[in-house]
Amino acid sequence: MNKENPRGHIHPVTQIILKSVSIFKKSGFSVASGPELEDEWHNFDALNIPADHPARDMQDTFWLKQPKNFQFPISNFQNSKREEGKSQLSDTDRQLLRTHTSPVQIRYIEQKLKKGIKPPYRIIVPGKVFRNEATDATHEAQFHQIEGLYVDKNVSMAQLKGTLSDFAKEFFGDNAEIRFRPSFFPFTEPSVEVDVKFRGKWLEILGAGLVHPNVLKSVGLNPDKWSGFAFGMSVERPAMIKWGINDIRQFYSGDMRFLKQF
Amino acid sequence: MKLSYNWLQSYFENKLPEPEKLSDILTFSFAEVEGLERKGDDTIFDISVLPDRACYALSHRGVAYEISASLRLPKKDMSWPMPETAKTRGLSVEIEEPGLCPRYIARVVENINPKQALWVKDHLESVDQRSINPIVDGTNLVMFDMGQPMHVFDADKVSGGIVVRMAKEGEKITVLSGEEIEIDSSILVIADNEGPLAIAGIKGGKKAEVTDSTKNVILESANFDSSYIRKAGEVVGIKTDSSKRFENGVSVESAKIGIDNMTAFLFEMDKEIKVGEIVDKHKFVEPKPSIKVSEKLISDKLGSSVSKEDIIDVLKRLDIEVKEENDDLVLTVPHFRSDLNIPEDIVEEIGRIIGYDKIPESKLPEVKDVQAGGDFAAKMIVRTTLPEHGFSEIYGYTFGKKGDMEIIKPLSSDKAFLRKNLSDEIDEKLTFNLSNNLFDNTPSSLFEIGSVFPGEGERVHLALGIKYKKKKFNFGSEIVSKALNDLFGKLEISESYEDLIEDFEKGNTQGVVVGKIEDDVGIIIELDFDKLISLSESRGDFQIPELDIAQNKFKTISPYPRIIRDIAIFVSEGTSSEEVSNIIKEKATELLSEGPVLFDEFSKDGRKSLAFRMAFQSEERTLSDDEVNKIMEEIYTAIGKNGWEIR
Repeated sequence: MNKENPRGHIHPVTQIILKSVSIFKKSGFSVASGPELEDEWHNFDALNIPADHPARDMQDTFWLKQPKNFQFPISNFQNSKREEGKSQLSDTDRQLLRTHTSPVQIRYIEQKLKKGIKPPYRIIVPGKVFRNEATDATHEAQFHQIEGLYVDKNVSMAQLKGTLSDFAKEFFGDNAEIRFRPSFFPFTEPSVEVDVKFRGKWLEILGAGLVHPNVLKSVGLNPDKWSGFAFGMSVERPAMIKWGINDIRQFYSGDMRFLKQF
Repeated sequence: MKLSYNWLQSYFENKLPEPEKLSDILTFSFAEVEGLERKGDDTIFDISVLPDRACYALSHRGVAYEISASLRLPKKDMSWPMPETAKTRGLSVEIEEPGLCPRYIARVVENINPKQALWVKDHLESVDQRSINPIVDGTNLVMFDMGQPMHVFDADKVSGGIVVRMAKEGEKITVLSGEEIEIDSSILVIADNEGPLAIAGIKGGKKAEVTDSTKNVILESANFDSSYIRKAGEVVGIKTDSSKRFENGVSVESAKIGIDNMTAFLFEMDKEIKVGEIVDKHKFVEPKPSIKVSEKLISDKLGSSVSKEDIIDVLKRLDIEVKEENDDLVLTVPHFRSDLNIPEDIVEEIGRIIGYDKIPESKLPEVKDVQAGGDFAAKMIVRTTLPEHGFSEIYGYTFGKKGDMEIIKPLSSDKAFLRKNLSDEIDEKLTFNLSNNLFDNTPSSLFEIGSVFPGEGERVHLALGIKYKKKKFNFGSEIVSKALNDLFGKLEISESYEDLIEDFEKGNTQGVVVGKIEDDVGIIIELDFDKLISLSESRGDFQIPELDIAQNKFKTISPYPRIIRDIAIFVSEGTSSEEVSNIIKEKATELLSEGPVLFDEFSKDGRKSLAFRMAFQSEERTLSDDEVNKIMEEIYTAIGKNGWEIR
């Protein structure tokens, strides 16, 4: 009857990512990305989350069975237990599905330094992440995060607050306010939880803080000279708040009755 | 972690703020209070103590320390009458593994007449702990009060001295819960001459269990290496309140405070007890190095100028000793704060205690050149272009039934592998969505761009597919071709879709096209996106597309079936279809879930015929035909009033 196909729909996750990126672009952030299949070093050790530390319990991990001939590219800065020419995988090479977008902080800095490019760096990293936990209306084993990283001289909590406050106002509207609460992430010190006031209610949206000196050291940056801030937020959560979506699993349902509403 | 308001109050002469107020204060200065629950005349806080502060704050004393710092309230001196020591049976302690057990303090207490005290039972129950027997209750009380895990053995069931050693191959222990556990040489045990009495730091054993008839005991207050306890807990598959605290790094000094508190507890219960000398075995522990900070460092990191006086004030409230050396402050932290090691840790202490709300907002330095969007922009061009051709975007599941890469502990057996392609799920969702279409001739059309994991590792693929209900409506391959060629244009790729497909059909499995599924009713094409982009002449110089985000409120998808109705109407030539559909919408009530969609229009004898289709659906129940008929009658009446005619 006709060859015209009625207009299709852009997924709400894409819409949130695109909107967020365009806001951070205005503050000079560019987009970086990294693999979903990560190694233990980039996902944990380099981010100051050593094995056998209770902080690992904060993120339930999908570990993968090691395929026979798989080789990870090993970072220059990685003080791996691997010896030269040894093909066997050491403990820190175990494969996993990344539990957060933070390993891209490490990969990005490694790449820049390899090319001889020193900070300042400003990146924003949208991507899919995975947690090995039972699913329900508010939990999914896969979801998306947006990570931000700023590395420069004399980076402060006030700059972090200013940057996130500007973001909240553009994203949620001019009246949006933010507030910091003390928290803990192994890769930031100090660490804060960031709440945004939206439609009269305080909602927990982001985790953030100043980049931990051990993280800078692990990529070969001198923490006495360089400092940074980092933040991360889930994509689905603000999407659910913004549109009033009641079940996170709908994002992955592939159901047009959901998709066509966006 | 559950904490009792009344228990916390016992640390202060001054009245604490009301529970709700205190909860706010703690949330903004220390850790999130996730719940508040009234329990009799008490209020129980559920506080989310995160791993950094778990070394001191998994106890009432730790949280009282925080309250004292936040509110500048002096804490009461917590010392109780101690008994004189007396001659008891001998006790020897030997630590074979000082690396895993830096300190072991033990003491014999004899001649106990255990008495249940109501306050003890109340205290334990307030934090969801069951009373076991008066002596064991004391160890739990001490742990929840000040954070040091304790253990107590029935001295009459211990043969010879205490040895802290690795388990021997094949050794077994029956733990307090009655379970028999095999332990190997990676597990540290507390043993007597005959065998293991306890899995060190994790769980006590049945052999020297304290029961109602116990009169004589050996108290244990020890310290175990945190990462060892974590590993061992996984090996034996047991986690306890004790192991949780050791995992987070209890201070070596706490062991002494713990055994003193436990002794005082027993003495209060029974003044006639005979208390032996303490046996304290420990290796030399280096004093913690001091931390050096300055007013400038704190102010720079916070981005807010904080005076030296204010810094010193906060530090003193946290029991941190301060020595001034020129511009530097040299700090000695209290023994239980093993989380404080570097200047940045101190920045956090100052920030949270003065309040993060005091920190101003400041801007980043201006930058001129922001990099182009690269790969991300290319993906976003795909995501905004394909919908123009009718394709809707899905985000599929990375997990599947089969694949090359297997997950060690999958959520379920159908999610045990990482997906190898996107087409399988596109295919499934196309079929699913077709059943919800209003018309037989409208296709279901979807795309996804995402990571897949075929044998050699991770690749980014793009798949798009279109499917119809009947063969005669199928224009799928034309629509796919048009969409992809438009996309290739925007990505500055000079090859056409037809070129790439031809290459694939000639048998090139290493090309851009990696999959094609085609039948009478549809087509799905899968591309290797990384390879596709490498054909682009722009070298990643793409601009990120602008997008106005959807502003509507989401409407929940109803689980109940819908009812579809058509209506055909004759109207005058000058009448627009919008006029008619507005009238229909007005009368169709909130049960109208889709449409009216104009699907037929023709002119005859100076009149125009319009045909609409619509769907009715309730979010709460299955609709009946009768209900929908009544709505249709209302619509017919309204159409008639406008001088139009139902065909």
